[in-house]
Amino acid sequence: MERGIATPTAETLLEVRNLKVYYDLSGRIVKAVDGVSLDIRKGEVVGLIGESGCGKSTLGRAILKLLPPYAKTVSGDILFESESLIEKDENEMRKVRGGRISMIFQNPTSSLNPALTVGEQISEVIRLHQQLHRKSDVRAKVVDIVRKVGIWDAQDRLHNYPYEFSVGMRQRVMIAMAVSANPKLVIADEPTSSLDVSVQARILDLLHKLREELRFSVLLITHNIGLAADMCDRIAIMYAGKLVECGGRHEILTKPRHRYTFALLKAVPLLHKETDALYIVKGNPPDLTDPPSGCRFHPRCDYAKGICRNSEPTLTEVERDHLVACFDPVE
Amino acid sequence: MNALLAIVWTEVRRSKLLAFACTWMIITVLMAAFPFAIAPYSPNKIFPGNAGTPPSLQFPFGTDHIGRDVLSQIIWGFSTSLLIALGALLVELLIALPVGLLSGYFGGRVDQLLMRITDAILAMPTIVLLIVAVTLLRVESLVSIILVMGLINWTWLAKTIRAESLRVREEDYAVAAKSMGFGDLYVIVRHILPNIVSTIIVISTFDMAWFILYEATISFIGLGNPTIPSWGRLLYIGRGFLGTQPWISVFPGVFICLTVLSFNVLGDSLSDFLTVKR
Repeated sequence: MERGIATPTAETLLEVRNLKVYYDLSGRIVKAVDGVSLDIRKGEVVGLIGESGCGKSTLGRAILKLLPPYAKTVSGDILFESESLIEKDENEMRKVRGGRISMIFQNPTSSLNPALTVGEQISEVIRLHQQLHRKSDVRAKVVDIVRKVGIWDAQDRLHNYPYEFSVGMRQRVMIAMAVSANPKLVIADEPTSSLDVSVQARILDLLHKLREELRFSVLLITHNIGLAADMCDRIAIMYAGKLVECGGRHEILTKPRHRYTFALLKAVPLLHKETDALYIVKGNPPDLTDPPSGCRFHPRCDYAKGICRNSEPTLTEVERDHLVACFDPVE
Repeated sequence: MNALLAIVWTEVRRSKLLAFACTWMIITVLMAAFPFAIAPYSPNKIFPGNAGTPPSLQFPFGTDHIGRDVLSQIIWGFSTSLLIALGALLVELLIALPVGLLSGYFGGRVDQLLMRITDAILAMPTIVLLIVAVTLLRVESLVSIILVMGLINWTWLAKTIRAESLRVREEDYAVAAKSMGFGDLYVIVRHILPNIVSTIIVISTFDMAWFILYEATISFIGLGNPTIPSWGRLLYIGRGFLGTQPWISVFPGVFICLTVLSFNVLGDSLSDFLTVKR
């Protein structure tokens, strides 16, 4: 079995062990997550970075068991506070969802129900997870949480419908719902990708602030390296259903060892550096119904050798807490 | 509520057809609700010596072949028609809502089973089924007609509700609700239903029109209850006197046309402004 980012310690909150999630599209098997091990410690922000379609969102949803019916968790385990989520049934999972692990979605314009007022939606989440029976208690809690996410005119806005809010405000409402029950882990799936840059920054500030106050861990799923660099303690790079490198933010950003990570970082445009053309990683992400043999990145890698085609590299520790799956890592 | 009324008012002022439909609906529904106050005579009262009178001041729409006032029969008849249509709609909703919601939301085997049953009923020609059922039951009470129409007509509504649930189930907010720990029943009632209710209202309006037509059809071919006044019964009576006493069937015919048209216009407009804003 492959090893995770680090040896599990007492502080480990979530441990994904050799997880495989396959989609069965009428006979075509898509290996979206193919043997991923990852752990998240208490209070930590872990970034999961990868191109579209590399399986990062599938991993996020697999943790909450929110996969569509045609997806199958083939093997592996997910341990949350030492309890296996894989073994839990739907009823037990409902207590985990929103209560102990919650999720923030990419698109705030479609994640709120357009037919209910914002106040109704938040108070129903609060009533679900907290033993508040008096109407006034629920309302007080709603106002409190909405203020916490920076909507100051909370009282006046609760009877409004989602379409009466700006996109950034809607994402604040989504965050309010996600953190209302004091979860231990928040899975943020591209939380700012559909927002414009200035709003992005404010939403990230908010997440930062809430995390310090409520002390939850975050799994930040994104394709945006800059965002991960800002927020994360550790970063995991995913490529074609597998983790290729993980380690501390500083190590990943300044001393990337995997050829893919290296290429990704080289492709980030920098303001102070004048270039004629942007560097792009050649080729396209592989088809996950029939992934390349050996190292999945080899068809796009400038340094591919015979061994890269024939056998699959495993994640190995090159430094403390820094793992790379590459036969010829960057020195 | 005030906002809704404001929208309705703007729409009504914009479209003359809708204004007409609304006016017509208000008039006929009032007629149906208070026939005893509005109708000049009892619908079954026979005026001896006045059989087959053409429209006059005493009988604005004339009398039928045995001397009953046509206007009074139209007014009382719509009471019957509306009651039957509403009853049938209730039966239809009671079946179509659970079938459509469960089928669309859960999919898989539940969907397969429910939809094959729906298809089987859908495959039968409605009007023939209606005639056979009414004949077989032989009960000429309103309840049997209501049940039969509701039991036959729910399939399209169920199919539509299924398709809509299927769409809403995949919406981010339904997935997000599950991610917050809500159960399936909650998601169905609070997220799916409110977002498809406009579609249900629109289809219900169209179905009301159908029920009125079906009832008229059943009575027209002589399967209705001859003691209860209805629009179909008037058409049935008038059929034999079309050449000599056309008013017996022409007036109820016009009422059926306008009422069905109004329901359809209303349904169309509702589908425009009931759409949930995003």
